[in-house]
Amino acid sequence: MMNNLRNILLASVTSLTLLCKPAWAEVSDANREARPSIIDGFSLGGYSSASMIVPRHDSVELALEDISLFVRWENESRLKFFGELELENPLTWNEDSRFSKKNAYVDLERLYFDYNVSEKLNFRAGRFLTPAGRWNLLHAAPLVWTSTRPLVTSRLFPASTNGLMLYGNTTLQNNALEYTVFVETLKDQVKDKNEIAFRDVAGAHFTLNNPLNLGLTLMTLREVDPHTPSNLLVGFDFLTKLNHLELSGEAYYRFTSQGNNGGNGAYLQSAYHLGSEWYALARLETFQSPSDGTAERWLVGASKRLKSNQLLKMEFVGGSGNLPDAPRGFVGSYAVLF
Amino acid sequence: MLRHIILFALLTYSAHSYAEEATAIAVIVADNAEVSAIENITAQELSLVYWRKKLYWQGGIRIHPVNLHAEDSLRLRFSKVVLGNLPAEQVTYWNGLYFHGTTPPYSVQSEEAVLRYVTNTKGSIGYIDACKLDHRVKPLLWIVNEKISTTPPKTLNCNHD
Repeated sequence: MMNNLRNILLASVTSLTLLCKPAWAEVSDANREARPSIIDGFSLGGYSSASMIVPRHDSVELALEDISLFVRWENESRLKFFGELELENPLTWNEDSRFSKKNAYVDLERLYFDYNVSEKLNFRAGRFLTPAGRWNLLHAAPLVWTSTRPLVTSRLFPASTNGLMLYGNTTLQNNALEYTVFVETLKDQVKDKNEIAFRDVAGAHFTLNNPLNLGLTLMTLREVDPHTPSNLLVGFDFLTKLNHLELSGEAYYRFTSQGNNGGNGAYLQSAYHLGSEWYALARLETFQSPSDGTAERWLVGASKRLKSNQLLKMEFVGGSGNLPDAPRGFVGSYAVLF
Repeated sequence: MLRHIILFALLTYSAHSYAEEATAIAVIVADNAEVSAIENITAQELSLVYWRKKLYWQGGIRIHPVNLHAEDSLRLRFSKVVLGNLPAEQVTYWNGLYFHGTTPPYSVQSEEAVLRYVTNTKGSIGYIDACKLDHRVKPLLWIVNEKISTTPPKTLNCNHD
């Protein structure tokens, strides 16, 4: 069953990649006047990425990292549907075990309905990305500058939540203020042995769209294993552009119910446009949590935007502490949005 | 020498005049109450519509903004004035929005295609060279000398290609 689903996904993605125009791009056809769609209101898309990791003290690994498919539906009503099915690690190769599919699994990353009441008020029900900071909401490989993910964006809160959400935006002194309030209503299933299970998740995220794009995250949650009492997570994020330089960062602190440190961390990242769609990258990270211990990372690298929907990334990562999915050494990858 | 100075002055004057008489852009909706959803729009609302932050008109009709293709000179001017940057600088933004299920405005290859789209699509809005306005559409905003205005320009420089 799993193999069949994997094969279907692989075949679908290959076909889509070959057949589709870059779907992020504007739909354009001089001879058509109706709105574009595959079957009235349905549209498909997705992304994929492949990587090469040369760790400092381990064997080289090549991997087809993820194949993700989006399904979107909307018509003239106020109701919308969005789903994302992701095949994680479908194929890896390393010097020791050669080709392997043992780490492959299918993840229903998002599946929700949206109902728009107004710009200020929208309802969402289903499985959605947890609204915390920036990286988690835009984590797809073609949308982020680096192949590796900042530790703090994946170890202190759940990546996705099953529940209900209210969101919208309003104007605050000529700047748009976006808000999101959410609560978990259905327990998440853990598929990856390195994944941390969270329960009783609820929170809010606010973003002020000014030149600094300031964000504030507030969340309550608890870890299942080891069982911890409820934690309060407070986070800040920002993204700003100064000529050719883009600076971004996120910082989180988790308070236990006794007011102690329940984990914290931060990253600061810069991307400098060198010209010809080449970007120089640098990032500093710090991370600490009761279950993972302490780790630090530095990163220097470069990315080339091959096309609007394709990104080539190369980076050297160093630092201290061993954590899952946080290699140190050279990491290169290619990512495409379709 | 005098002849050179006069020639230089004339050339400078004509170049200056040409720059001042850049084409006016008209922001249009259908001139048909059954298709058009609005009677007026502010510059800020127009910006939200083309950033796809505002998706519905007040009556609940879905908004269908239409763009000219990304290299069209009118599109470049519209983008710079209304959105504050050029299409090439919006790649990250649209990729991010696409990841969340929202696509950029539909785009077409010609101003005649904009006119047809706006005329036939309920809730649509577009923009064309003001000299190409006809009975099918009505202008709601004007972009003249890179400023957005609700009042039409006093004169239109329609002697261009």
